[in-house]
Amino acid sequence: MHNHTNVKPLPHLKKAVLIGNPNVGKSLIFGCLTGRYVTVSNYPGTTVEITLGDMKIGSEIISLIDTPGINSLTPISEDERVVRDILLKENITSVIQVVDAKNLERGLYITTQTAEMGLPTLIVLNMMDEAQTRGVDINIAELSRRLGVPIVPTVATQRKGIERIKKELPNSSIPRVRVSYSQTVEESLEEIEKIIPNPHFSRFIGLSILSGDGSLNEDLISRVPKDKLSSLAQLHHFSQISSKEYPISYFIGLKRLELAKNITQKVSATSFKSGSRILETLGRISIHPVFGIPILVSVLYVAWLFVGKLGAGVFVDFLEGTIFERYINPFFKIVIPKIIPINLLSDFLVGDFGVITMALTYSLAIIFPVICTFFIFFSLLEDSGYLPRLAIMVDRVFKLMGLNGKVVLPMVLGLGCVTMATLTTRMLETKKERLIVTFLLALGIPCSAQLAVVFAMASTLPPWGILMWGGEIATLLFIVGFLASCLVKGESSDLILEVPPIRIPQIGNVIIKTLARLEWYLKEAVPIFILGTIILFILDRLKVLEFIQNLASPVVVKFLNLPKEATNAFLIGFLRRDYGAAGLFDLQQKGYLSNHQVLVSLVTITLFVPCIASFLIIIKEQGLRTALIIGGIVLFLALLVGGITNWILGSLGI
Amino acid sequence: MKYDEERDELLELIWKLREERVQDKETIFKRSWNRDVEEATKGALEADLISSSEDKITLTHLGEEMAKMIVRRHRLAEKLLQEVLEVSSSEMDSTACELEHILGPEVTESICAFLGHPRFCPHGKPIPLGECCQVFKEDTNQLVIPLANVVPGDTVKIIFLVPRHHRRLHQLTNLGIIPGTEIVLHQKKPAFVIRVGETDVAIDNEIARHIYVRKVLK
Repeated sequence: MHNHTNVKPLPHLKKAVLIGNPNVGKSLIFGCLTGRYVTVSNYPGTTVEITLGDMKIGSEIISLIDTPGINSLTPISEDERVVRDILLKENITSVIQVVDAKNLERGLYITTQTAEMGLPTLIVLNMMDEAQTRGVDINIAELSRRLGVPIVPTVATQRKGIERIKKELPNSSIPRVRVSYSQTVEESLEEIEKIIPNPHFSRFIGLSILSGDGSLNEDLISRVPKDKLSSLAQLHHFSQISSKEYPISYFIGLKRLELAKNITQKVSATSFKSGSRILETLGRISIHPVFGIPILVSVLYVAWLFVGKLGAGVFVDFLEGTIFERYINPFFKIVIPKIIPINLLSDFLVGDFGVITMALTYSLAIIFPVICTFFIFFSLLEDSGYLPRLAIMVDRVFKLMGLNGKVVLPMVLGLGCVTMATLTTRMLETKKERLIVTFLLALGIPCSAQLAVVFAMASTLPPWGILMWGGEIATLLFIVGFLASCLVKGESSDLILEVPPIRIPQIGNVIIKTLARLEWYLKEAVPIFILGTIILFILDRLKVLEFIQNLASPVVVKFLNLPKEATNAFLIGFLRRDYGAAGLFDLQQKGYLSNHQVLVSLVTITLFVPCIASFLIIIKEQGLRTALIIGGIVLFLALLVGGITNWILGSLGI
Repeated sequence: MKYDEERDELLELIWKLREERVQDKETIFKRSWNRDVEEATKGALEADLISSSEDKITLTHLGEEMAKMIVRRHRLAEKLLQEVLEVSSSEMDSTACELEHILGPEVTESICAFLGHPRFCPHGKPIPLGECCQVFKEDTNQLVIPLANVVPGDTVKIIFLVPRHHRRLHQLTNLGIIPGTEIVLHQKKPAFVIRVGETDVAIDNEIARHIYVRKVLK
C-alpha cells in the first residue's frame, strides 16, 4: 500500500477522477472499475494519498484517480484542497461523482461546484439498496434531465450497475445547474472574469477568491498580472463587508445548498418505512450514555480475545514455538554452515543475531500473526461504522484533556501501526491537535507488533501486574496529554463528526483492506527488522555492543535494575520498539528476568522511542526540530517511568 | 453617581483590552486617549470601580457592571447606526463613542429590542447581554432556543447559527446544517447527535449552544 512513487499516467490517456462525500463507497467502486493493479502515491507536496488505476472501456484504457472523501470543493481540509487541485490542474476528462442515494442533497451540493468548474460529470447513485430500505425513492430520469448528466444507480457491494458506469462514461457532460448568488456576488464575479485570463474555470475560481480562499493564492500569483492582484483582493474585501458578520463563503454555501435542496425535493420522495430497524437500534444503543459502555467494553473484550488470545497466543505459539523453533531454525542451523563454511557468513544468517534466526523469526513468527488479526479486526470495526461511535463515547474523557473524541481514531489505528496512525493525524483539524496526538502516539501507544510481544510477556505476570502496566501507561498518557494541551499554543477544535449507519461489513472488502495493510507491513517493516539485525550483528562483531552495554549499564542495571543484556533490547528498540520488546521477550524466555524485571522492562519498552519508520514520518509531518524534541522527551519519560516502576516495586518489596 | 466621561472611557478601555487578554497597567495607560489617565484611575480607585495591583488593573464587581453597560451601549449604538441608519463606518465609530455616554437605560433596552437583541457588533465583538436579553432568552413563548436546550426526540428547524468561528460555520454548511434545515435531536449525551436528512452528525455541547432553533410542531 505504501510504495510512494509518483507514477504519472501516460500523457495521451484520458483521465477520469472519482470524487464524493466520505462513506459513499468510492473505493469499492474504484476497485470494481480498475481491478487489482493500482498505485498508491502521495499527491505532490502533500501527505494526502491518492490511488491510481487503469480502467478498460472497450479497447480504450482510461486512467482513473481515486480521491479522499470530501464535503465541499471550497477546501477546509488538506484532503479537500487536494481533490480541488486535482480537478483544476490535472486536465481531467471526466468526473465520476459517487453519491449516497439516501443523501442526495449533500451529493448535489458538490455537483453544484463541479458545474461551476465546468467539468463533464457522471453521477453514480450508490447504495440504492439502503435508500430503498429507508423508503427514499428517486426519480432518476428526472434527476438526469435536470442536471443534464448521465446517472447510474448502483449497489457497489453487490457489483450491481458497475458495467453501466463504463458504458455511460463517454456521455458525461457539464452539469446544467447554475447557482445564482446575490447581486453583489454576481457583479464581483463579472469583474473577476475580466481579470483572470483562463475563462474555463472562472466562475468557481471567482467564487473562491470572493470567499477569501487563501489556498489558491500561489496559483493566482503565477497567472494574474501583479497590478490586478490587488483589485482581486479588494473585490474579496468589498463583498466581505457586504456580508457583515458572517463570512461570505457562508452565503455562497447557503445558495449552493439551497439549489441542491431544491432539486432533491423535486426528484425524490421519502415514505417512512425503515427496513433495517435492528441495525439502526444497534447504532443508537452503541452511543447511548449508559448502554453504550457495555458495548464499548464488549468490543474491547472481543478485540482482546481475537488479537490477544488467538493472534498473540494460539497463532504465535504455533508459528514461533512449532514451525520456526522446531523446524525452520534447526533446519537452517544445520544446513547453512554446511553450504557456507565461512563462520562469519553462517553466523550472519543463523547466529545469535542472524537474519533468519532473529529478524525473520521475530517479524514473521511473533509479530505477523498479531498484525494480521489486528487488521482484520480493525477493518471489521471500520466497515461496521463503529469507530466514529467510539469517538463519541470517549469524547468526554478527551474533553478533560482539552482535546476531543476525534483524536481517538488515530490512536486506535496506532494500536495497529503507529507509523500509519501518525500519517492519519492529518485528519485532525488544528495543528495543535496534530502535534499532541503525534506525541502521544510516539510516547505510549504500543503498535500491534509490540502488543504481540507485550501480551506474550505479560502472560506470566499476575493480573495486578498487567493492570499496573496498563494503568501506568494510561495515566501517563492522560497527564502528558493534559499538560501538552495546556502548554502547546494554538486552537483546539470542537467535535463535528458524521456518524455513518451501522453496516454489516463486507467480508471481501475486509480481506482486501487487510491484505493491503499486510503488504505494507511486509514491505515497510520487515526490511527494517533485517537492517536492525545486520546493524546489531556488526556492532556485536566490532565489540561496540559490549562497549555500549557498559556505557548504558548504569542506567539499565542500576536505575532500572535489569540485566546487562537488556541493553541490547533497548538498543534495537531505537529501530523498532516491538523489535526491542521481542529482545526482552527472548531474555524472559531464557529465564533472565524476574516478574519484577518483566514489569519494569514492559513499561519502559512500551514508552520507548518510536520506531525509525514512524520517526521519519514525524519528521515529515512536524519537521526535524519537533521530531527530535519529541524523541528526547519520550526517551526521558520512558526511562523515568521505568525507574519509578522499579522503585515502587522495590519499596513494596514485591 | 456623578457622570464622568473620562471615567467611563477608562472602564470601557479596560473591558475592551480584557477581551484581548490584556490587563497590564502600562498598556492601559498607553492606549488611553484620556488627557489625564492617572487622574481618572485615581478617581475610579476611590469610587471602588477598579482595583490595582503592582502592574495590573482589574475591574471590581461594581466597575464590571458599569463597564458592561457602557460597552453594551456603545456596541448597540454601532449596530443601530450601521444597520438601520446606514451611517458610514468612520462616522459610526465617533458617534457611538458619544452615544455611549448619553443613552439612558430605557432607550438602550428599546434599541436592543428593536435590533432583535443582537449578539455581535458590526466589528464582530460580542455585545454584553442586558436584562431585556435575559428575559428574551427565558421567555417560554419565545420559541427560538439554542439546540442545547432542546429535548431529545424533538424535531426542530434551524433559525440561525452564531457566527463565532468561520471554520466551524463552513463545516456545518458542508454537512447541510444551515438555517431553514429541519433536524431531529437524538441524544445529548455523551455528545449531541442530530439527524440531518438521512445523515447522523455528532457535535459538541459547545456547538449546540450556538445553533438557534425553533421547535417544529407536528
